[in-house]
Amino acid sequence: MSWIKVLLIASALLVLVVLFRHRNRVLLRAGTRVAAVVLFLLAVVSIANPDIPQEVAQRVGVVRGTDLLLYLLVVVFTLTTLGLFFRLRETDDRVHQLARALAIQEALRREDRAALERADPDGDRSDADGPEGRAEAGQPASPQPAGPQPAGEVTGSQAEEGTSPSPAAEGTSSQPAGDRSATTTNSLYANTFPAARGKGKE
Amino acid sequence: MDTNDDVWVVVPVFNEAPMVREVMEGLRTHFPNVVAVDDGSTDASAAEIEAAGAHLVRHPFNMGAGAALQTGVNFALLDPRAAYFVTFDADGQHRVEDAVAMVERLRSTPVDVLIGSRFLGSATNMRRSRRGLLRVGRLFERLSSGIALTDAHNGLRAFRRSFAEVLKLSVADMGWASEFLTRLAESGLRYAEHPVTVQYTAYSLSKGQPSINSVNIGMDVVVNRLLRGRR
Repeated sequence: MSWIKVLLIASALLVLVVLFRHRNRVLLRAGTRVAAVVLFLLAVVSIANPDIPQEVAQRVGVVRGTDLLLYLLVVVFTLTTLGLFFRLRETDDRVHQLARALAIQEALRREDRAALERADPDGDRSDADGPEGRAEAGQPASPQPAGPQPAGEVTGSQAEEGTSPSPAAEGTSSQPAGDRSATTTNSLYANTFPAARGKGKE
Repeated sequence: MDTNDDVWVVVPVFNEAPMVREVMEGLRTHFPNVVAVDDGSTDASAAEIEAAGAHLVRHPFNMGAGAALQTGVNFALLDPRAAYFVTFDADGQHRVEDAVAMVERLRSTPVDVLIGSRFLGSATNMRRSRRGLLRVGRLFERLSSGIALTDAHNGLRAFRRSFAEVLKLSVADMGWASEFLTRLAESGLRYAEHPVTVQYTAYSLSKGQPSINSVNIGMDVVVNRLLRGRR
């Protein structure tokens, strides 16, 4: 028995150990694990006695045992690549959902804070962006027309709105909606933007 | 005229700083609720959106037009008053009048989903190659989703809340238009086409998808179709 055989068998063993040590993390299916054990046994057998793969190769019409191994390798590699491809897609999908949820939360928080500041410009400024926030003090305290407000998330700004004209009345006002909202939201975003930008870039 | 309080316009934005403000301001003259989803732009798009006074949702990194659209729809769905949804491109190729007319049509007729068609309407300065490509795309959609449209890849679409709630785009990139149609076919909702004008300007042409990308999109759509239900 030459040294290369020892090395090869040792590495096959290592693969097996790694595979099973990480079974929880990788969530290998039972079939995959059985296949891994079978492959491991085949590997050990063919390393110990190269005549066996040679014999098998000739039975299935391949001249050399090494060629048979090459073909098997191609098949296994393709399966592995496909498996990883699907896994990546799934991961991408999850990352997108996560990023989407974060982006929406961040936007809502930013709008909430802006609405609070607008409704009560001289109120609590501890989390405001600094002196430039004062610029909007001259703005009329009209409520933000239509920030999406999931129930139970925006108690703060709803309390504020109770003291100012109701949002529902806004839609029926005869004033051109676009112009008015444009000016209010304009100032609304002006202060909060730098903070948001810092958050967006990694 | 309706105040369109119950309408949300969703605009996916990726590096459209030179144009996006004008588009937003145009939309906001007719629609109080405009949400722009900045899909990880590296230019001043976000600042321009805020300057125009639209709602802004910022993706932390670029995720693709379909993902941005879905984010905008999710955001708009949080508003319980939202009854109508409009998707609109940020590069200035659509006309706000068309969006207004589509919402009016949704209000006055029992149709659930309206898809803009530049072939029923008109397209200015469209290149011949683009016209041919869109014809191929049309055939592709007809075969894959069973929905026959004259213009299957128009970014201007309007739909009711009922469709917004079932629209779960998982195709992140440009293939969203196809997935949109697949969802539409599955939902069994009523749809129609609406003639719109698409203005191909020098800007939108320079920003638009290179035609060769349709190969990528087509392949993605096929892969996604094959993988449905496998997740």
